[in-house]
Amino acid sequence: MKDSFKIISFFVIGVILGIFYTPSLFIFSENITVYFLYLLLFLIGVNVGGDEKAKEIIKSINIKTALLPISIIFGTLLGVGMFSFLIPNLKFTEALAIGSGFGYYSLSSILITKISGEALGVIALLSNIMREIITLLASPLLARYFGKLAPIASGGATSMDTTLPIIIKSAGKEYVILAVFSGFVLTILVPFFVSFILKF
Amino acid sequence: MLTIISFLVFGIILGLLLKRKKALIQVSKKLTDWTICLFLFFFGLSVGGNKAIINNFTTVGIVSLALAIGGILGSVFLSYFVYKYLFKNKNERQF
Repeated sequence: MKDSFKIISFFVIGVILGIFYTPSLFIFSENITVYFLYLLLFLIGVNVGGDEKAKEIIKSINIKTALLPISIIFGTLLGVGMFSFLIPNLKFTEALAIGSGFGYYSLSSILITKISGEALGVIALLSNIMREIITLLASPLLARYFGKLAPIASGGATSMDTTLPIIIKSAGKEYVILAVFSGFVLTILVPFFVSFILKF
Repeated sequence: MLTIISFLVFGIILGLLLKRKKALIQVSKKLTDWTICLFLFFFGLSVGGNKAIINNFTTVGIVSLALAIGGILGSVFLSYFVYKYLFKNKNERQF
């Protein structure tokens, strides 16, 4: 949780400075976003490919375990899709793209900013940060009332790292590999889903 | 889309090749964190200077929260059935 706040504080400090100064020097050109995006995608790839747990994760795949990330994907899209009808000025596909961040706020916000602009990028950032924070706070309750998979579902892509400790606490140690597997799969799928959905 | 995916795949292949060089992977993880922080800082600066966003910050916040809750509810809902029919130990005490 500490780490998330540290990372988010960079954004908050940036916003506060931006409100008061708006220095032309720092105008965030589209080009800069693109460089950040490519660098981030490349680094995430290296981290995923170099992950020592990857072998174990791949071994744990079977129909039963694969159903978890599949249900998280469809459930998330179903949920944000339905909620999008309550929100004026937000397209159905934009809501789906934001949901496809699965809590992975850094990558989804930078991708969506690059493809659809800053306004939607901010919503992607905040919405996916909130998904992580709600998971950190609500996991024990979710596990109790909606089953042991609920905290993993709520965590989305974050269930492999930032929300893993609270998931283990809420669901039990026997769910570690499943949580890491599910988060891993969703993490890799974020760039595919976001860029694919925003084509429509 | 192809460019986006190819950067990711290129990274994954390089990561697989460098798997044994743990120090390099660690450097990559550190670099990832700093890239994210730096991006978020610049993104924040840009957002702070964007009056359309700042003046509507409450709306932006509510929309974000609604989508977060929607995503969580939907995925928790479906995962409940996966749990109930595939994972739940029959002997487990029910609440």
